[in-house]
Amino acid sequence: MTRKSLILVVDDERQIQRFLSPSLKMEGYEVALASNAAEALESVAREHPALVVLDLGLPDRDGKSVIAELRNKHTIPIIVLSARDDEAEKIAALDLGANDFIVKPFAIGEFLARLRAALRQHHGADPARRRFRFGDLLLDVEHYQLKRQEVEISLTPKEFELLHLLARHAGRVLTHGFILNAIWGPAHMSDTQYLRVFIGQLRQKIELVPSEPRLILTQPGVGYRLVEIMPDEACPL
Amino acid sequence: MRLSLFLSRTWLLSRPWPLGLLLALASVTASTLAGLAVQAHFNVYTLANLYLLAVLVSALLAGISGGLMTAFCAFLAYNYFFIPPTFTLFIANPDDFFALFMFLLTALVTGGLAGKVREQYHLAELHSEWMQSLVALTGQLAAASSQSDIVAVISRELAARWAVGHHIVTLTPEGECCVRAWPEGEVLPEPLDRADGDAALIEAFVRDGKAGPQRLTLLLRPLHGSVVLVVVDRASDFATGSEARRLLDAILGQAMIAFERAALVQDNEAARAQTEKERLRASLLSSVSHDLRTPLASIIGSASTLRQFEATLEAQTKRELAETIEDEAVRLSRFIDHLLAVTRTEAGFVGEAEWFDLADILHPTVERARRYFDRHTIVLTMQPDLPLLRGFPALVEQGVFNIIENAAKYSPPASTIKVALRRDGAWLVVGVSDQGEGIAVGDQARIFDKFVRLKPDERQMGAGLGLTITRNIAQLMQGAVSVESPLEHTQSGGRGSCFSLRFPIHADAVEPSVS
Repeated sequence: MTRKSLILVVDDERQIQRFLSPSLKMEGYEVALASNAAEALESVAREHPALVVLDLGLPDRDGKSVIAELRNKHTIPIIVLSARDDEAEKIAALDLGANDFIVKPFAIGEFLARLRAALRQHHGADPARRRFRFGDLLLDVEHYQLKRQEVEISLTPKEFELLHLLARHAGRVLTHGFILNAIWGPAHMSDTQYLRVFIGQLRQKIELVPSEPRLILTQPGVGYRLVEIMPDEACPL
Repeated sequence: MRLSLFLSRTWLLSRPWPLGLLLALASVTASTLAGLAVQAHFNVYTLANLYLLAVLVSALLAGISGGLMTAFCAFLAYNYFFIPPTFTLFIANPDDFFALFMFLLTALVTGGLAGKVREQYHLAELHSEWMQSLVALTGQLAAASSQSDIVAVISRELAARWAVGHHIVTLTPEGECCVRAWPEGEVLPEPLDRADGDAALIEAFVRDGKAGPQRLTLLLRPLHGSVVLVVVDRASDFATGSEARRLLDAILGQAMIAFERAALVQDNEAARAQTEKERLRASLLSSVSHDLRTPLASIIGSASTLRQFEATLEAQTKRELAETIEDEAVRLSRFIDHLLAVTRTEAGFVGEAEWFDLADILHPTVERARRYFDRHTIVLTMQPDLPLLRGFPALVEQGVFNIIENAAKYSPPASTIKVALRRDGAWLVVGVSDQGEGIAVGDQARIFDKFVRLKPDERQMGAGLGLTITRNIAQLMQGAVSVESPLEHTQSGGRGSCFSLRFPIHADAVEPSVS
């Protein structure tokens, strides 16, 4: 069984472990440490952590292969620690199934916030979910509707599909390639130009100030992220 | 057109036989017919003038050999048709014998002289044309700045002038070998070992059949150890002493001068780059040592204080020490980011260009800047419906952030920084204006250079890399960054600067309004 409060930190730098471990414990988590890929996989199999914090530069294997291997069997959230200026690496990690990335160096406050968000999102994830609340919007898949305070906003089928995709993965950064593949198919993986236009149109319809988006956020050079979904019961109809 | 005329003329000069003989026969036949027609009215000696005319005409048209051949034919025809006994080659009268002998002598001298004049004329014309084309060639060579450009000019000249197949091989002192061939076009360099020297190069060519007795091989050695090997087909056309060879030598002489000039220019540039590099290295060293050591000193000092006096320090002091450590580490991290970004953008290590919406990038950038520089008000305005750009969104984000950071650093606290995105013809322009004290006109060009800080004494200043990174990023996307300052004049001097970061709109960009 997954241990709800166990966080696995995979990083070969002792200094990182040294400050992450006490901070996480202070926040009430249990901490497991691994300093290479083999230990990490073993620890996941044995201890069933609730979340994995993974540095991509590991001594024995490429961290990305660890993501791929974990994703074969588990849905466990993975937060990647990456270098600031390596967009390609971030995209690759996200496309392999990492839930989020944090750029090194980071402040502990930001790290803990992202960790909580990833856990919340994971626990709240329900593949059969049909209603999504974010901001003051309600996306109702059952009735194929998007409403802002009872006023329906009309979307084209593609826009609806795009918003639904973002909502299903709310809080997560979705790469351009991932979105294009999911909505337009593998033949259009590189039509980012297309995607920008659709995102722009969607923002025109759902953002209060389209030039200052608060719902669909841009991660320059990587992808888009929809703000976190609120639990359904928090906002009764 | 000019080429074909020229070719036929050289052909005539080099092969006068068929034409000369033809002209000789034709003109002598014409003179004979004319002579026969007017025979009754004139003295037989007067008719000799008709033949002299033929000799003159042939010599002028076909040169010396034509003139001499005509003289000889005319001599025979005159004797046969007009000197009695007619229709034989016998001469009955000793007077006639003398007249005929004098005729032959006159005809030969006339033919020779007229032919000589004709050939001199054509040579003069040819030389003048060479001079003109050499002048044109010199012009082209002067415009060619690199060794390969010069080779291209020479190759074009050889092809256009003689339509002669050739290979031009250049071998630099570093051992780079480049072969340009006509009509085959560019061919791959042969695997050559520079250490073997030029002899090996020529040998390799002979071995491949690219050089040899049927081809003319010329070796140029401009300054600086480069070697240029010119191998021309049809060696017989370019025999030593021939006009074609003289022209070829003249062309290659010009090329030689051009090669040396290019080498000198290259040397000059290399020397300048070296000086610049050394200056940069010196400033890099001083900047790196200062910007890395200062925060490290604070970090080490604060951290060791915390550890040493853990038990006795007041909570407030502990917190301050921890804050110092965090702030200085952030500063250090940012400096390292900048150093890496400069290296990356200068090396062109930027990944693949992609389509992106600048408006889409600007918003998170301004958000981030608002978090960092919370003492200032940052206002963002954007023109709607702008086309997408092609380039590197993450870098653009950094480029814009650096300008905002610069504005924040040089503005008084609580001032307003305006960020505006607009379209200006074929460009998208991000303007960042501040209420700082402005930048002197003399300093405006300098601020984008590496490690330039106008006020290096101030504590808050960074490494002087931010604007350099922005400029590099703009250049990577064929854009530019410029500054306008001061924006207004006050009693105490100028105030405000506006930085403009502009990117060209790609021809294939989708206009959002169209879709």
